[in-house]
Amino acid sequence: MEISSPGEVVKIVDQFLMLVYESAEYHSLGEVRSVLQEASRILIAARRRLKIVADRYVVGVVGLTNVGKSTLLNALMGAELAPRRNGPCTAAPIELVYGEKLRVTVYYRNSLTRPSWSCENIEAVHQRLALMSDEEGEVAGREVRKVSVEASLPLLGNGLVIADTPGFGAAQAGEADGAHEAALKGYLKDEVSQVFWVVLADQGIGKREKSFCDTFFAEICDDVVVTGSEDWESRDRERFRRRYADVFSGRRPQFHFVSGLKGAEARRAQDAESLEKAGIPMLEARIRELVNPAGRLAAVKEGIIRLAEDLHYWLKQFRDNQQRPLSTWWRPDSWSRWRACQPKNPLKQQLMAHLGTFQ
Amino acid sequence: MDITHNSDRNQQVEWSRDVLDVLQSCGNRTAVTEIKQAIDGFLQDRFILAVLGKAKRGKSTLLNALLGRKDDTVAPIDKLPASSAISRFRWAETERAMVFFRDGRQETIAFHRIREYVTEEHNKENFKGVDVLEIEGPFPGLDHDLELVDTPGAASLHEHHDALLHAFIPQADAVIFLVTARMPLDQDELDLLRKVKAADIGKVFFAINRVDQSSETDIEDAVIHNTRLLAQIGVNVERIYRISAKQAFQGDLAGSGVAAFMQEIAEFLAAQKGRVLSDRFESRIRLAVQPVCQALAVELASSCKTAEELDSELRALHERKRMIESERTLAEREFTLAWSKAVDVYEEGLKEVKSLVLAVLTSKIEKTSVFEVSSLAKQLPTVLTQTIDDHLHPLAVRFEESVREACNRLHATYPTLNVGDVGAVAIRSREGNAVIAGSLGGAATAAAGLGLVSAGSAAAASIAATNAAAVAATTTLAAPSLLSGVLNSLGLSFLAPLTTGTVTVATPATVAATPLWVALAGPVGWTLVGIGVLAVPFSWRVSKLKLKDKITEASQEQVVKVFNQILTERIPAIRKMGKTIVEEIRLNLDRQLEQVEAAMVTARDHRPSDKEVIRLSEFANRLHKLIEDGRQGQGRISSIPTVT
Ligand SMILES: Nc1nc2c(ncn2[C@@H]2O[C@H](COP(=O)(O)OP(=O)(O)OP(=O)(O)O)[C@@H](O)[C@H]2O)c(=O)[nH]1
Ligand SMILES: Nc1nc2c(ncn2[C@@H]2O[C@H](COP(=O)(O)OP(=O)(O)OP(=O)(O)O)[C@@H](O)[C@H]2O)c(=O)[nH]1
Ligand SMILES: [Mg+2]
Ligand SMILES: [Mg+2]
Repeated sequence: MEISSPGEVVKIVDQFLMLVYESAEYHSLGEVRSVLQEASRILIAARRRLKIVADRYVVGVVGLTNVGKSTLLNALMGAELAPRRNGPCTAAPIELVYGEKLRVTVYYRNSLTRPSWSCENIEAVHQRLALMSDEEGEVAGREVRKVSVEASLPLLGNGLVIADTPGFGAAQAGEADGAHEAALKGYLKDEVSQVFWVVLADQGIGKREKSFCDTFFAEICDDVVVTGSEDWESRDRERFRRRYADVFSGRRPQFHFVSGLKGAEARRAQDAESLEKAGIPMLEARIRELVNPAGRLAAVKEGIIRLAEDLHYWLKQFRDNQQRPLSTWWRPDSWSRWRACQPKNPLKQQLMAHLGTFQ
Repeated sequence: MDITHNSDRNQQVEWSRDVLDVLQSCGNRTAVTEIKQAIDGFLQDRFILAVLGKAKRGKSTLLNALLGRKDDTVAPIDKLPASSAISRFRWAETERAMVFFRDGRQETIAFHRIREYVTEEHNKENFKGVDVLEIEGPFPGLDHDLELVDTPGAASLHEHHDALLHAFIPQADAVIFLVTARMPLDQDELDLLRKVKAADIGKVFFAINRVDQSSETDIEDAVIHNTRLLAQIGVNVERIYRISAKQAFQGDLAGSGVAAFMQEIAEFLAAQKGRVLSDRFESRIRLAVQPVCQALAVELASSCKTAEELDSELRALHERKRMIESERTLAEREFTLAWSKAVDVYEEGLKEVKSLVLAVLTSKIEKTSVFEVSSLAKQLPTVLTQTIDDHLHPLAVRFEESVREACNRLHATYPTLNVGDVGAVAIRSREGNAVIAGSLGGAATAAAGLGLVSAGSAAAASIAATNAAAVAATTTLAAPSLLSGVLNSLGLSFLAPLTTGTVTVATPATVAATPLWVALAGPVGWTLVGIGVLAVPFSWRVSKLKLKDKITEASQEQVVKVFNQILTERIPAIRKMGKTIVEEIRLNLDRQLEQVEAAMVTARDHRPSDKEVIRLSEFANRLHKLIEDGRQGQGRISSIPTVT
């Protein structure tokens, strides 16, 4: 594929979105409308990813309470940064950002002050964060918008930010259900570009987490991290993959089987083999793919080309079944605008190859 | 079993048959079936102990251990969600497994075929239509008058598992509730426990399973967490057991904690079984009769009224409607005023912030030394973002607060309409509650009540949603023009969420190249990428001194554009939103009032005949008397300790 600049891709995605969205409004057939609306959602997600191509790219580690998100992050980072505990723990999103010196900064929802501490070592950071975790209860999750930790960790850099998030589905004494969730939802909506969804091998994927995924991050998630899978044989992993292949309704997720606990232990013992067995390096490689802006751009492009193919296929099927004339698929003025824009761009041409046949 | 116990039981059965007779004569099917089932169960004198929990807590493993099985033939175990049916286990001399299907068929199968009916793997989505399995055998661990029940895990992705489970729960006399040490109680489990509580099941054996997999501290953490939550939802568990079902299944009953657990279950059964069974029986009958009694009460209440009375209630409603009219207008006007004031303040503030941002930026660029200027050029997007963010944030927060307060106030002062249990309709206004209609016809009330409940919550929801939309709108910097509504509804407000501190500065990307696009789509294509492209080339082409001017110019242009967008497009949209909220809340109340009125008219125009009324009141009296008698009976039963 030839190279298109991010700016051009952005424009093409926007125009594609306009075409699909306007046509969706214009169609009288409910089925077509809903398929086009689905396409709009996918494009919006693509758009959301592109926005940050040149800026920060926040990978959110998201999942039910206590599945082991913080443990997994510690294993990935090779440092005991985030506090972990058996029970609801992480109270506000914790962003890990590249920085020369160790520093913790707290952002509040209703206040301009951003208290910030520089830390001597990882242990001090851990202590700081532990003070803010749920157990202490001093800083309620609802007031802290996020905590950012600057550290010079190998995985960070190139604008990549990894965020540990509060779990959802927690039941907490003395608090209304879902106090953590409020903190999480806003963060997911506003700041996260890509989600790694952590689920627990021994529990499978439940109704609540699936519906949370559908509502808040399905569009920006391709990766399901199955943690706690230390004693899962490859045969069982395969069965797991098959059983949950459909969680994204159609789109195939990538499953990564890991053990956060074993990974963190291996890091401490500097045992490369165990680390490998815990699946951490593989996950790291996948994250590195995202660190590379060109890689991200390519992923988005691939995604929208696939969307064009899928649309083409669906519309064609629908037409063949309904025996409708072709020319009615797109709203005419939207179509002519779409055709006029950047006709020479290779990506545009590829998309046209799929969509153009309908006019 | 002694004679006292038996005679009490007989009395109870007699009583329940009387209740059944009355219900049968008034033709309530659901209640009749439920009571028949309860009587059948009670006569068998078998205690039903069900194992409940979320998926994969080890229910089937524990069940195999309790039955004393060496393999998982009768209750299959798996790493993935497995059990997909209710399986009931009883002691008998010979092995026998019966499958009962939904359509009423039944089939006897060999043990090795159980798996084909009770697992998700072999009976996907229950395509075989299994209802329940009854499995009998000489299970060494099973008490002869105990029935153990394995259930599907709650809250998995398999919807039908929950359906089966929830339908079954009321039949249990006590439950073993399994959680794991790895996952302390979560919302799904609390929901399940609430269901157990709602079914009036008093005894819960609460066990943390899979303790072999967790460290002692993790188990302690879990115990503390679970204890707190159980207290919070009011489920009394006496003790939290710690077990390893797997170790027990593998033969180590003592070490796994399961032996002690079984011992306590046995002791409980020995001491309490008779009482629990009779309490459970009585409570099942009561729960079945309750809705019937309520419906009768409502129907009677409205039929006791004359057409004139209903007529006067209708008039009261009209009167009341007129009275709240002035009240609601007042609330609306207050709201509109507060809203537009907030927008005014915001608008004024914007102008100030704009000049401030311009000044700050200019002086910042001015102060930058010639050597640093190209790096400033590169950072321009970030600098712009941050400066605008820093200065707009407090203003936006203030706006949000005043708008939210206005909404809350509107909600608090606006008249609302309520329908009570017995069909009493009340309008809440500033002067407090005013009941305008004593009660309505049964069916009509039910209809109106339902409609009202949903209409009421819809009103609340729409306020919340509109409020959220208002907030989103205020915090959206890249004000989309033509598509503004559309994009917001699509969730595109992330383009520039101000409150989060990462504002995307709206910049036209290469405007000249695609005029059509810009004209039509407006700022959709405006992103940071645009300004990045714009800013970087400067550092190559222009001398450093000139560069400074260019940057100043570019950033000023940028700031002006951003603020103009907000002023010319966001602000009017927000103003309009205030009106929409008022219209919506007004419309909702009107709809509710209309429904009530319609229901009252129906009650007035279609009244039951006198004969019908007499029949209804007879039923009601007989049921009432029976239920009262039962209560006395129960007092006697539980005051006599059962001797075994
Ligand atoms: N066996 C096993 N236990 C794990 C694994 N990962 C985490 N745990 C345990 O799970 C518990 C919770 O881990 P956390 O990392 O705090 O979970 P979290 O998802 O961050 O929880 P919240 O912050 O409350 O949402 C701890 O007791 C961990 O030891 C794993 O891979 N295997
Ligand atoms: N380590 C350990 N594993 C256990 C224990 N109890 C059950 N398991 C394992 O947990 C998994 C699930 O066990 P099941 O008995 O099928 O769980 P279930 O609750 O019946 O699951 P569903 O029927 O799907 O709801 C299996 O892999 C068991 O071997 C235990 O005490 N310790
Ligand atoms: Mg955590
Ligand atoms: Mg099971």
